Amino acid sequence: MWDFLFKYPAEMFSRGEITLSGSMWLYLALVLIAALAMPTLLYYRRATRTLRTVDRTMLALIRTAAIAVLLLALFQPVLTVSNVISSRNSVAILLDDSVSMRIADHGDATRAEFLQSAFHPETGEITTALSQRFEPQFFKFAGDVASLDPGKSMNFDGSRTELGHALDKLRNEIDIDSLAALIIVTDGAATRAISLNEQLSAYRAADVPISTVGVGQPAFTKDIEVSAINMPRRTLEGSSIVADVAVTQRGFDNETVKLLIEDEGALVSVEEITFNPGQSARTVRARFAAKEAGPRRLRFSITPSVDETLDENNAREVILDVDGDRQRILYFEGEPRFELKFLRRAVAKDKNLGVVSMVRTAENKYYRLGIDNPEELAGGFPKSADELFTYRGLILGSVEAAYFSAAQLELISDFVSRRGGGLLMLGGRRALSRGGYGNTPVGELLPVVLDAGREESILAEVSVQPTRAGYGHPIGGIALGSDGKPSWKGLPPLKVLHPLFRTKPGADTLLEGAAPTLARPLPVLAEQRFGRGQALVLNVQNTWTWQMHQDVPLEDQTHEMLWRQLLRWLVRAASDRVTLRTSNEHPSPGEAIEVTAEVLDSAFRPDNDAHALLVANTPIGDRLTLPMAWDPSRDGVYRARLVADHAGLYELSVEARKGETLTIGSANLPVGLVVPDHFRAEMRQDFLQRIAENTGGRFYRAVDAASLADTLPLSKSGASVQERKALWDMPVIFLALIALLGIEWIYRRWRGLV
Amino acid sequence: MRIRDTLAIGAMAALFAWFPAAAPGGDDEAHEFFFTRGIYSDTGDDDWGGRWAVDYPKADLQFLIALKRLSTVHAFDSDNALELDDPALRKFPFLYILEVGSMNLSDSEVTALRNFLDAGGFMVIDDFWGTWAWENFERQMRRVFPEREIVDVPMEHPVFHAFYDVTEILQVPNVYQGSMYASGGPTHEYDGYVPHVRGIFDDDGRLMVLINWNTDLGDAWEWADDPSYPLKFSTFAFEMGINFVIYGMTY
Repeated sequence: MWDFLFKYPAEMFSRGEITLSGSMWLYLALVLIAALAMPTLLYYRRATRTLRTVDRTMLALIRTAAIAVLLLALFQPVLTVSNVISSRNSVAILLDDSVSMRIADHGDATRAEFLQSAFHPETGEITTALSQRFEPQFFKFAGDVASLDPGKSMNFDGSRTELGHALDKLRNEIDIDSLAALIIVTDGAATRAISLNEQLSAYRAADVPISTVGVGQPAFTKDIEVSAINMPRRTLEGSSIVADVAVTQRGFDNETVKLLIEDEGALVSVEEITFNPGQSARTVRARFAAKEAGPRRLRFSITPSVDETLDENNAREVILDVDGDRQRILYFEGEPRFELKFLRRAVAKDKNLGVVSMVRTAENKYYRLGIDNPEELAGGFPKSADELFTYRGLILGSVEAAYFSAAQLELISDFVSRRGGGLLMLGGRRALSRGGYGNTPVGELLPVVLDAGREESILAEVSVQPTRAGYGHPIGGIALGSDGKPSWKGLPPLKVLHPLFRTKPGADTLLEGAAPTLARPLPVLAEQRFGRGQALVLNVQNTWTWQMHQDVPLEDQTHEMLWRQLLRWLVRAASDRVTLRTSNEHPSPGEAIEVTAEVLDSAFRPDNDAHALLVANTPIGDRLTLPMAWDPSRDGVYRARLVADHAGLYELSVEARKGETLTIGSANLPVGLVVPDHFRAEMRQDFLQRIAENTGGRFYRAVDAASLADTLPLSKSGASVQERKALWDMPVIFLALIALLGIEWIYRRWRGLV
Repeated sequence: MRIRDTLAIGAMAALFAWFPAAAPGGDDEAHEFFFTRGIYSDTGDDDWGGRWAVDYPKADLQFLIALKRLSTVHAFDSDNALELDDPALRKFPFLYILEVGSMNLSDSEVTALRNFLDAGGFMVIDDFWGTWAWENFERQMRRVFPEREIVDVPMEHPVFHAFYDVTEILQVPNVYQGSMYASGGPTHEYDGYVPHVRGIFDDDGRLMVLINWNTDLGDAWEWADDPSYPLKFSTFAFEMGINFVIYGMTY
């Protein structure tokens, strides 16, 4: 209908420009006619003055509209469009060769089948149409880009869709200034959540519109996906792990599914998930223990149902590095307290925690426990970083700030902020505000506000409960009811001496205590990050009551769990002197990875003078050795580029040598563990539309792509010609004129004016 | 010992018939350490009331004075006697019991004592002499821990070095024999010629029960202010007692 009325397709109007092409003589003639018409009109007015005002107005309007339409035709409107000269402009076509193209959601066909039928370089239907007007160049892309020369085929086995990389590489492969357009045929799945602004800007600057063809459904009919797992990737053996697992769904409203968590094939946790109507995503919190040391392969899965679109996204795996080393923690107590005795007992059988204790039993007299050699702590509390930084955690009991020298207080602050150690200050008559820590470097790093006077105390017995943050923390799971779920109700109250009611901004309160004598609960366990490390306050002084109290069964493990988990948490941020990071947590085989090592000296200051060597033990038993280059822009940082060719676990270690001293850091890198393309595999229409809009291109759904050859937005700088299409003879103009004259006649008849 | 009983136990029994043992409460509970004396059932065959109260409370109070003077232990100043099956006992992980030669525990006391020790409590036994008293005590402890051996504690054990380095076990006499010591009197009672420090250990090698047999530390504390009582015995007794407290608060 449009084409009949307006002569040309609507798309042509959208990209063209309408102008009037009447000549100067025509305009002068029209002005002359108007001038001559004036007396005629005046006469006409006199002749019709017997008419009523309403009729005169209506007739004038209709007649004016008719004259306007007539004038429009006389001005000779033209549509100016830019058209490409056939076979002179080149169009690049990027075809998605990733594994997600095997999903069968293009009707009954797979995405790959559509792509082959429509865009095959030789036989594709759309390719044929494009070839009549352009010189198409075909490329396939997934993790990398390759030219689809004759004879080369697509395999649809790429594990990821790296569109940003593909756009970058294409600029290197061809001269994009010669392109009339770029067409990307993809589902957009698994494209990393990085901005493509830089790449798109380059194409925009070269005036190359990118048009995108979205293949697949933007929303699956029925599917469930383990979308993300948020949990620590490194922990100490025996630690309680809290994992937040994000699950998304389509078509599972009101259904209940089970999330299974396996550690090297052994089931360690099962969580039930019920989706409320309209709830497309849920995050489930699961707890389990890291029982064995070494790299542990954890699998989070939901058994696929028979009618799901995609089964492969129902499971996700991560590698958890479980550290089996003994973490040394210094516990300094200013006076003998039962807290020390029972803390030592709670962790005595824990091979991963080595608590070294020093108790001031008299003025200048110390009793040392758990020391490795007679010299350890022989001079009292450490006075140097070399001595203190050998520990990963520090517990200060009932010892006043005045005991320490100013340098030692600074050293404790450095222990947390620079070494990344954990500081735990316990409640006690010589601790916290009563201990005079208010205006000291140690008080500064504590998570609580020490604004009480040194003589102020409350001496309350508080019932301890986790806060909301505490329930989501390993500490929240230490007290278990008979059903194995966290339960804190039966625990005896604990003594609090310090009136600490305020935590600092940024601090988290994990446990709080309530008592009838207190107007509001006060923080019992609070923590905050400080520099690289963290500081905690446990504002009670007799947690041993949870071990000794008459109402606590002998077999109850709450007290043991409290200290095992709290001390593990305490040392979690304390790093080794050499730490490794990789640019990609889940690389695919063949992918290049940047390995970054941070090297620190014995005082945990960045070391720029080390010789760093990356050693990689590959899954097939090879040993690769790569020198690492110091990064001048970052102190203590060394880098190397590793190409992980094989799927499996790469054991990485960095050897940093300085003189005779050799320091080693290690990490495990799983390669090919996750196929990113199986996740977020729905066709990402919004994303593809943004790419098109950003570059002046157009987005096509696969089903609409047949018109691509005719409607493809093209570069204005290509080899194109301006075409002028006359519009004066559009049927719509004549029809409008006839219609207006007809209306005038009918009106006159109706009003009896004929 | 029997001679002294006439004076000590008679006076104490009369005193405590009127004044029950004070229970710590209120601000007192801010203290870390309470010298807790165990009240137990005995055979009751000597007509002097409870044997648990021998030397009580003066020995306890004098020991506390020394403990606070010599160490940083934040100790409650007063005595703290509790029955073994009192649930409040579990609030005080250090327990002192003496004169166990006539101990005759009820079933509830046996259970309570076992649970106290299994939970982490530490018990010091003192002032019982000779074979007969040992056999009775051993019988009672068999009821508490049928499976645990009583063994000698070696001198290198931390309990002898936690605060003072004790290298020799002295036999500490009672007040009467102590006053005769300078004139060559014996230090033993009955057939308890050789002092022993024995112990019952838990599964992890920590002392649960420390047994001072054929010696009387309590009298040495109690009569430390008596010029006729030899200084070397009261000094030794304080050293041992403070070591016991420090050990009991750290292991």
